[in-house]
Amino acid sequence: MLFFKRTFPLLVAFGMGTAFCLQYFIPHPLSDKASEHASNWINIVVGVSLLLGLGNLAHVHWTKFKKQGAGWGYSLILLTTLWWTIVLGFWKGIDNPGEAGFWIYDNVVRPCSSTMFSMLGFFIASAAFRAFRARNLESTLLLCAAVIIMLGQTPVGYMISEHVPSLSNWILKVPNAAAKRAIIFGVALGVISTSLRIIFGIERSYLGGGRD
Amino acid sequence: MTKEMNFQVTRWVIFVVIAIAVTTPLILDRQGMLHGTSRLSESDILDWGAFVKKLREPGQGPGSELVKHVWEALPAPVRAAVPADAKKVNQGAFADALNDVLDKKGFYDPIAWKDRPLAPDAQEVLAKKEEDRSPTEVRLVNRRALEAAFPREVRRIHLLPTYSSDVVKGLYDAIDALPPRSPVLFSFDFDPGSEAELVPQARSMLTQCFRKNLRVVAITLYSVNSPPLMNEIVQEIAKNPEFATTIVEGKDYVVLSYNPGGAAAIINMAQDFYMTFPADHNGKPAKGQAATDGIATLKNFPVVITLSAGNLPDTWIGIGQDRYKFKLGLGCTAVMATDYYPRLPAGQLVGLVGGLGGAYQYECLVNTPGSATQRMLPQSIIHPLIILLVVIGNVMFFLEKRKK
Repeated sequence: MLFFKRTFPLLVAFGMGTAFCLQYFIPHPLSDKASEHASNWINIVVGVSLLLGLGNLAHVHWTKFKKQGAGWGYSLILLTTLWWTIVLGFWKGIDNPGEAGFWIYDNVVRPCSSTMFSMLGFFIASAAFRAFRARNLESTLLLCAAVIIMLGQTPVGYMISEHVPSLSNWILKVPNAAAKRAIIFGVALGVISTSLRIIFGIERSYLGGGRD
Repeated sequence: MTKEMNFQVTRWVIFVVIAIAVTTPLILDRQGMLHGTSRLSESDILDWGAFVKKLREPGQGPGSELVKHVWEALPAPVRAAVPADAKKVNQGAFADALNDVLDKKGFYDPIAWKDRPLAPDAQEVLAKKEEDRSPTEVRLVNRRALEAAFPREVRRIHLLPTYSSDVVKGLYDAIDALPPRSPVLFSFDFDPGSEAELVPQARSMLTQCFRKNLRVVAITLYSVNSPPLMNEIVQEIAKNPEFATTIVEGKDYVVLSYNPGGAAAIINMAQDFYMTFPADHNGKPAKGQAATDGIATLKNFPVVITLSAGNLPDTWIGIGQDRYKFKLGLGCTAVMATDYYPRLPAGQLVGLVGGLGGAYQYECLVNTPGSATQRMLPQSIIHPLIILLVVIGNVMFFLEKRKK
């Protein structure tokens, strides 16, 4: 059993990881075909994982509702809305105006999502007020950059001077891009090292189950 | 100053500033300001060549009757003086002649313009009795009528200055350089949470594509909530009175569906587009429609645009653009935009439209003020307000520091 629990997944990770690292650098139709096949597998895995997630969600909340655990009322709402959205989606359609699924989308999903996103504006305004303090040289530079960017993002900056949007654009294109590029390189190196650790079986946490 | 006094002062300052911010848009006389700018200047004709050509040869397409109406409203000597070669037209004199026409009451004819509704400010004036309209209001209505007759050639006036950065213009130019009937892939990778920022961007880009007679193929890789939104935006622009019956589903655009695969979906599209997106939103096969004619894989799209609210641009760049070398344009939320600036000099992105500010700049480029222009007015008050609050916060900080 240890073979299927540990050795086999490690072999699969090693084999697939090595094969698809090499595949990227082989410009041959056969290599492309292999990539296409693997992509199909990914699509299947994604589809199955969506079903698995749905089943898991329903199971967790059904158990909570049955045992009348804390917040079981929310679980009931979740299960009811989940069930009716699925039923109406399959029965009456979802994509086009006039269909029941579209009504749910237009009257529930859309306002809720927009409200959630709108809250961000207030958090950012509040955070800006509290965080931008000229405590030292670095924070003063950050404060100045923020002021220029905020003005440059609206026509007010252009009304003050046509150089304000240009300066804002320069900050984004030069100092910001330089810092972001360094972060991208750092992240890429981290991804490469983690991938190599997984391919060579050093990193095994994805197998789950803690220690052997 | 005691701590309590500090608190009181801050509270009152914040209250006054918020009151100013809320009441300013109400106090601003939008119409009065617009009336002052409704006079046509030489630079208001964005493309003199196309404008003069259209006036002389209105053709039979949508809006041609309106163009004839404008031509006939011009005095005979002015008409006779319009040269065949647009380069030889005396722009100043011609703009003056047009201004004389715009000052006249009978220029706007509701029957002639019935298929081209005027901007809301003109509608407000039209709601008044004819005898109650002031000369500046008449000119505003006539100016809006001229803009509706020449949506691409005459600049649409609005309160805010018109400008755009090279970053936004990069995407506009990439689309503008495409020959007619080229396919453009739009990936609507966002859901209603981000529609305030991304829908205005999508509207402007789609307007540009339809004006250029490009074919639009719409997909989404983001969420199950994206397809209805995608369908709604594309249909809204396609059914815009400007395009009348010229833009037809299946011939000029096709709205496909959602594929949850992310990177895998991009790889699959590069091998066989129809395997990834077999049918449109009506269930009709994607293959065989005129809008998808000549498209076999992702590589057949000269320009791909992802309108994104998540991390899909990284996938589009890493798995798509880097491998298959199409021109990739990105429209994203403002908070995401800074992450993608390094991609521009690397050539991985041809242009970047970030947030509502980017959407406004794109609307300026397309000469179609829409919701981004509308929302820029409150944004133009709120940003300086936040700066003012930050300044107040710093002043209080220094006062407290000095006291200690």
